[in-house]
Amino acid sequence: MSMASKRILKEAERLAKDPVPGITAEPIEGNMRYFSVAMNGPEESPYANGRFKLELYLPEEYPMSPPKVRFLTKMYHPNIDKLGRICLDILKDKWSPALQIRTVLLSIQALLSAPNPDDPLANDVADQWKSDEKRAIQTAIEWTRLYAEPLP
Amino acid sequence: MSDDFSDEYMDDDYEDFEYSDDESAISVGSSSEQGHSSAMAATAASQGQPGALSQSQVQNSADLGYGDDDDFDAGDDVDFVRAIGASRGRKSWEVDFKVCDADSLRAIQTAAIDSIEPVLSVSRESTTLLLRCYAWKEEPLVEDFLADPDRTLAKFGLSSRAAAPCIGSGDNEFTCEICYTSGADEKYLGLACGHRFCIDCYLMYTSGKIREGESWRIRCPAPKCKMLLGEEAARLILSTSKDVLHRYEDNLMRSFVGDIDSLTWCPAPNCQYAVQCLVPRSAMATVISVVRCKCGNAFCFSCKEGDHLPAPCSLVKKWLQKCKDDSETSNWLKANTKECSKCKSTIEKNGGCNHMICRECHFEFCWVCMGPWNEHGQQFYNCNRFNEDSSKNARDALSKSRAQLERYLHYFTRYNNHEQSVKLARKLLATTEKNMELLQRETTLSWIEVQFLSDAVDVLSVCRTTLKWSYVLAYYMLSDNQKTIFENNQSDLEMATEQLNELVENPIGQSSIEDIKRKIIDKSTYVKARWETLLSDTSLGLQENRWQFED
Amino acid sequence: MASRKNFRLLDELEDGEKGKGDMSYSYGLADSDDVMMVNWSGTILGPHNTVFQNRIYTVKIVCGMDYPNVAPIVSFVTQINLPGVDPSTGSIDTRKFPVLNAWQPDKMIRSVLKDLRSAMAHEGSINRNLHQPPEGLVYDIEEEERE
Repeated sequence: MSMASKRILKEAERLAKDPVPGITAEPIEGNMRYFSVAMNGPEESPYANGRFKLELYLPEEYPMSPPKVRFLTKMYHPNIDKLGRICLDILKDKWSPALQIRTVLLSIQALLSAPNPDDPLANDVADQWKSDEKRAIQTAIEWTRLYAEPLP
Repeated sequence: MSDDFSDEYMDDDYEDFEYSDDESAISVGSSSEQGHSSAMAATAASQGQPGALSQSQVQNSADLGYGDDDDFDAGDDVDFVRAIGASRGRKSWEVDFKVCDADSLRAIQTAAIDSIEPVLSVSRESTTLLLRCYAWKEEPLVEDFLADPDRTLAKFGLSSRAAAPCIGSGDNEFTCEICYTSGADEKYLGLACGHRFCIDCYLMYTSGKIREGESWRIRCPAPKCKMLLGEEAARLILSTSKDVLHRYEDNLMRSFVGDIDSLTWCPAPNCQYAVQCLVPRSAMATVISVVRCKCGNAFCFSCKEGDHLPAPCSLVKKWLQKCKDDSETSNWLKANTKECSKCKSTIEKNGGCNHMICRECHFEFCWVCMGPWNEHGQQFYNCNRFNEDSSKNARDALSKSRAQLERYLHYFTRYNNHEQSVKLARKLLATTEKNMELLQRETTLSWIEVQFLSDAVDVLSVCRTTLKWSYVLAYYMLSDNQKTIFENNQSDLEMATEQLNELVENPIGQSSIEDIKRKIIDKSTYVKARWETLLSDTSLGLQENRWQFED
Repeated sequence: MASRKNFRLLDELEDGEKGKGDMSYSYGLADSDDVMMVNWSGTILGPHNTVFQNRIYTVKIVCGMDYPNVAPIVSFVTQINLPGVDPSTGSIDTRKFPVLNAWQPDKMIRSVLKDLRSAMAHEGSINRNLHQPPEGLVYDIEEEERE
């Protein structure tokens, strides 16, 4: 599909030329559909002092179907499960072909600032978040310290 | 393209299209293919079709007699036969229905749009979209609309001010946000929301959605935009892809039939017809709505299983699940060959007739209950009844479950037996025809058509199907006086059916072909009368709540 | 490494979680924290009318870094007497199982399980009298044992 390849190339170019602040996304050597992502935790969130690794993959039907993303860093968050899978509407039914990798990554970063325990992927974490938010936030801060990379 | 619209449609507060009321609001115009479900009314012109009678036999039963009326060809007008059926009026167990092809479906749709268009006073396309959003339920739509027209429209991404979709090019400033190409050469399409994308991307996007089965719910590709694509825009986009357009129209029709309670697709594979039946959903618990499609398939409108009169859908579902769960038992039974109770030689059942004669010792017995045959044929026919007393004597849990199993086995054996016989019907017909040929050769009479024979086999199939499901009804029915009366009807029909089957299978011993024919036609008439009695009594009984059922 | 298609493994995981396919087998991650989805555990229901019927067999599946270009490494955990399986260790001779022998990248974990089950159905028909070890025994392996 030449339209898709053209678009992917353009997106990769733009991301390199005009990166999203706090986020890097680089195609893996030789494969334009596979991106290695590093994301700073948003300030004023329990993830503030960490840098998180993700992997992003553009399936065959992209941009008509959404990119596939998951965290490689261990995350304590009600919408992220043990395998790093993310519960985010634009990655599923609310996807639009006019969205881009850039917007997806920004949305994920926003999700870190604003966890939503009412739409959980990790049920035990979500329960904890609802019953004792202070303690949950502490755990998230602890996990960031333990598992995330330090900020550059 | 004004930006105001874009903001309007970016509203996060929007609802999904979910409507499920019980009352279907669509009424129907006049019919051209009205039908009654009765298998005994000839709705099929072709010979040999299960449940179909020849012209002569329909005429005969209408006259309450029989005759050698061979003047009608099989090829004669089906309408004549239908007129007979219609003049007899609808039976108490039959429902009115209409078979719809694509044109009549469109006509129903058009009628619905026509009727509501003046009330809404928006474009026809918007009217149609609104109806689809409301699953064609006129009342809630009108109520919401009259209360607040703009809000109702906006809820579904429509607007009374909406402009038609626009196609254009020559805009230097235009960039497609999907493929990132830009410039004056790019041909774009934009909906009333103002979002524009290049026509190629729109085509790819729309085709993808259509392939997933979507149709009217397709929206503008812009993130968070609620604006519905609409048929006009879809046709513009798909003008170069006839296949996809065709699929789009199919999906639209699928969703229409799916939304309307009184319409359903014929479940036969590759059948393009839908059937309309106005029996309200609330009545379907006691009225078994068997309909017959033009393709010949007879099915229950409510649960899509085959003709399961006289058992209601809920019991049928329970029974089939039970048979699946107890499949070990049924498998054992189906594989079971029985032994003659007298001499123990193994017997395999080949035909539908239950009257078995042991090849070794000539003992005559009933295949189903293994009891001596002379107790069956003549007097009070008891083979169908389960003796509840034996289960009352169960003392501990073990014997109680064994008693339950025996009770189930009683009904299942008979259910299964009738089912197997129906399956063997074609074989039976072939055997019977051979017998007739033999006889004819021996007696050197002129050849007579064997039409009455195949009709008798059809009658047998229809009756056995009814009997099969009557055992399901009986299984769940609690015992009382009313059940006894029902079982009387059941046994009348069953006995008569067995007698007819015997006549058909063993015509040797009759004096002449004329004699055989007379006997068979007489018996068929009698069997049909018993069949109608059982069906009419059960349909009335269900509606009157005459019986109690377990659970 | 990119060719490893982690997302394909995620799809397989989802299929396994949803119970796609018939009820005669199932599979999932051996360890729910296994971010790289290397170690999997599958169960196979012994086919009807064979010496394996009514028994449940656990298998260990390892998807290496080159999966799915390279076949997973599969071995039996539950003791079994089946041609192609080493009776003392449970390790599998891939030559005896077509899916593993002629591996294609579009094959999946469930293809392997189905293939193993077919072999059981084929080799284990009651007439052949393939004598089985007592139920419930597992092979002694150096890592953590299952059941």
